[in-house]
Amino acid sequence: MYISLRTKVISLLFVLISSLAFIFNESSTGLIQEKTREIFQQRIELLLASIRSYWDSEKNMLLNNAILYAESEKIINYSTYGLNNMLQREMERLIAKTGFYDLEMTLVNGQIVSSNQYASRRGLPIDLHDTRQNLSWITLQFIDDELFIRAEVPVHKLGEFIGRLALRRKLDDIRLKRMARNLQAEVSLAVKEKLVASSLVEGGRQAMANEHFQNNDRKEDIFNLKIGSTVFSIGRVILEKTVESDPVLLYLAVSQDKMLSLLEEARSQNFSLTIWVLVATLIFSIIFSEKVLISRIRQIRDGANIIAEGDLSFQISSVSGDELGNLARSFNRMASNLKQNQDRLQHYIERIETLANYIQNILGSLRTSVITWSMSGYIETANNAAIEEFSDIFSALEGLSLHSFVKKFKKQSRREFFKALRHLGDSGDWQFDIEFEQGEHAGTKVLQGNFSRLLDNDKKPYGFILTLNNITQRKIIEQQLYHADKLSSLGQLAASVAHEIKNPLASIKTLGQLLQEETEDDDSRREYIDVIVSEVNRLNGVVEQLLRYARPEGSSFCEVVFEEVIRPVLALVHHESDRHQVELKPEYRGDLKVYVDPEKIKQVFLNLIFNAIQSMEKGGKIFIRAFREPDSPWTVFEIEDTGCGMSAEVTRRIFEPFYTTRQRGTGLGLAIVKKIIDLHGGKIEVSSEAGKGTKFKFYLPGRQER
Amino acid sequence: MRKNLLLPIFALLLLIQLIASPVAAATRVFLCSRLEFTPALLDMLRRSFSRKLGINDTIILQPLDRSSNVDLDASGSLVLIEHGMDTSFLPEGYSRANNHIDLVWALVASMRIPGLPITQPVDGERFAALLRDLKQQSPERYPWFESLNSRVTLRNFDVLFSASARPDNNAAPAVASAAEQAFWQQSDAIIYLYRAIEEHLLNPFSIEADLGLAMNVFEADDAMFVSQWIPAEFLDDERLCRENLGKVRLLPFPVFSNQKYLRIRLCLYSQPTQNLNTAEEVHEPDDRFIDLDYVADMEWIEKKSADRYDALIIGGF
Repeated sequence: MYISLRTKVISLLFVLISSLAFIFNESSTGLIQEKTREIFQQRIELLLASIRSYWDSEKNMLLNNAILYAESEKIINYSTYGLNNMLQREMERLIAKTGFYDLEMTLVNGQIVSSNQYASRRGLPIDLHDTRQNLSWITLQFIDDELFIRAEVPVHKLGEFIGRLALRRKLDDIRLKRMARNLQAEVSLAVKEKLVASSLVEGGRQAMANEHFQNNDRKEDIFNLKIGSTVFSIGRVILEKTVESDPVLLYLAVSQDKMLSLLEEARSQNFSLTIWVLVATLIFSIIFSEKVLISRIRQIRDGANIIAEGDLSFQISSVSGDELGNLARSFNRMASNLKQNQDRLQHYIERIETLANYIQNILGSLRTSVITWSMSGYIETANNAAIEEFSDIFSALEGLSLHSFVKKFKKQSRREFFKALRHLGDSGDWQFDIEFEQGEHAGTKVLQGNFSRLLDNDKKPYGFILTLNNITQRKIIEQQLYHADKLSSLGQLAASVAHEIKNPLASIKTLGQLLQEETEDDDSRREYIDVIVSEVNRLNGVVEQLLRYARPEGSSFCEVVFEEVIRPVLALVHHESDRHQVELKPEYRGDLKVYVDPEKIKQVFLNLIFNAIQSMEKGGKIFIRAFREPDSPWTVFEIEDTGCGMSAEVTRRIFEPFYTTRQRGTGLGLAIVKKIIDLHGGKIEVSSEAGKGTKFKFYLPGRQER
Repeated sequence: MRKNLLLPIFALLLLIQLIASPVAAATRVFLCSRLEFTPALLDMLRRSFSRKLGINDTIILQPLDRSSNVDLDASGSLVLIEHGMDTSFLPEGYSRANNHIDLVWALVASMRIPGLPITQPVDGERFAALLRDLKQQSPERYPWFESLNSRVTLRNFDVLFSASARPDNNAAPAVASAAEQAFWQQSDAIIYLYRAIEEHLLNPFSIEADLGLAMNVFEADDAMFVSQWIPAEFLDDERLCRENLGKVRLLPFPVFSNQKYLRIRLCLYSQPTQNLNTAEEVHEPDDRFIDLDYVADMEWIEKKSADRYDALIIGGF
């Protein structure tokens, strides 16, 4: 799976920093938790310690209020003058809305007036001899499951003791809730096994009562208690003892909710901070990776791409002193070395290419075909000459197997080919000829070849080389030479015979003419005499042609406009062509010039056109074309008819002297044509198809090539 | 949250009340008299005034200090001035209307105490006996309370004793020494009161009590008897007192065989534009009352009340 470097770097940075952030977050949260719990514990301890102060202040406040009330003039007067109802009303008024439970005046005579009792009651008279009656004190009363704090002070009028005033505060739920508000903690009071009052709500109160009932002899001062879904830290302290010496236990309950919420808030803040840090880190990582890392790596990558595209001159411009800077420097050094190596390599390549081209040119320029074979018998390379030689039978040589290669050779050639191949390792030069048909009407190609070994750098056999030389022309020349020799002998023989025949023919003709003169026209012998003279004339014409063929002739070459050559010929054959209903279609440029012997070339065209006309008994067309082959020294002439055509055998022998297919032909017309063409240094080809027509095509060289 | 809800609700209720009931007209009445007007007395006076003048409006009674510069004209108020007082301070346009309210000084006996069936006026002796019975029943309590810190009260006793203790044919034989006489037999008001205190029949705190305190003590059932100013019409129908004084019996202060009540008259002054439903005042002689003379009383108060008060405290009779 592909993961980009940027992703890796960002991921790595992100993972690293997020791990660090997570660790810091966890450790800081843990530390905060620990410190918060510690502070919370300290707060409980502090609250427990402050409870006593608070309790003392409560008692002092109660006592001070009792003293204040005891100093009230109305209280004193009403008490003194028996205005009990007024006293009760005044006391009721005094403690109204103060939160005190009651105010009670005990007169010396034992009469007790209480703020919450409309009727006074009678108690024991106060013992005036008891000096304690002049003292103030505070007590805790546990009456009917209710707890009171009672401050009692003496009341004097003008220095005379008139009674004692008691101010009570009921330590009930309301009072404890006020206390709880001041202390910011839930407070409960328990006496004996009963929970007297509590600032807790009913569920909490019940749980606290159960806790107290079951564990009122608990040893530790601070413990945890789950009330409902809230966990409270409970601090326990013995406040005081009641007048019956029962200890009054105060339970201080501080909900851990706030602490937990603070912890949660701290955790949340830490988490938020961590998230922000992570986001910032991610952004920083992206920017860092982009600005510091990726952009520089991208620069190096782009540089590598540029170098890959071939521009080895590229150098990274801004190079810093860090690792990437070292990498950039190394890259620049690599690019420089690559550049040098490339230059050197380019030089070598150029040399090798030059050499290869040179060799290729040699091979390509060779007229000898060179084909290399692998040891497995497949053609690996072939030069241009080989490709050209075999282009008629193979569209491509490379990859061709040995058997495929030889399949189209003549049987004798295949035999010689394999025989030479078997003797490849022997000393001596095993030459052999390969013959194969180039195609229909194209004749046989003859190549002379031999095998040689192809060795590698270690002189080990790598394959073998087949070199071939085209000797087809040589074979043809050899055959033509043979034929020419035969013709030459025949010409000489014919010339000597003709010379020997010509003289008696002249005598016969002379005598025949004399007989014509001497014989009357109506003489019956006259007809015989005329036949004699006519046949002598024809025989004399044959002899003349024979002598013309055999006679070595001088030539008179000159550059003429082709039209001047062909026009008299066309005029000459016009009558004959019309007679045979043959249409002559000359096709040539009017400015075409040829360097020929005009009289002889006229003879060529005359012979060829006459032959063509005679081949078309029922009329037809004769195309006479002349043009210069582009990029060639040859001027090409074509005489093409739509006549009866010729067989292959006739075509092959058509230029032989005395070979004719007509009854009255001499067999010398086309022989003379070929002789004239040869005299011009040209060549003539014939192609014919029975029933469709014949085309003679001859090539004449230009002036400078002659 | 609840406070936030309560405030708009109260405001809404107040608005509804204001819309539902038209603003009641108020009649402001200024009071000029020697008396100190306690809330209970003012309430009784208001009811009496309302009955007498047939005023259905809210009556606002406001004691008036003559030294204060009250713009009576601007207030359009009525003024009740004690007969005998100088009326020159009244703004121009105020004149006396044909109406008045009489206030009488009576002994108010609480009927809430079982065993105190007073069906008819008592004399001094009977009063003393009742006091002693009550004291005996509740030794820690004092059956009688007076507002002796009030100079007016002292003057009342003085006038009453002067009028009632006068030797006549029915009087008891004179005793050589005051100390040998029962307190109820004393002809001097101060001695009478002093001796009653000494016998724990009259609450000694009376010396420091004003009229308001005295009424409060009585109302709180801390005394069975107390002297009070009440509208004269209440004498004929004691039920009128119940709203302020509870179930009581109004008696002429029992000094010897006294059957009269001290009386002051508050005369109504108004502006001519004020149409008051007042009946023609009929002056009929009434021997049930002893009319107090404002000028003489004030002179006594000014000249003798301090000495009499001191004598009441010092005693030594």
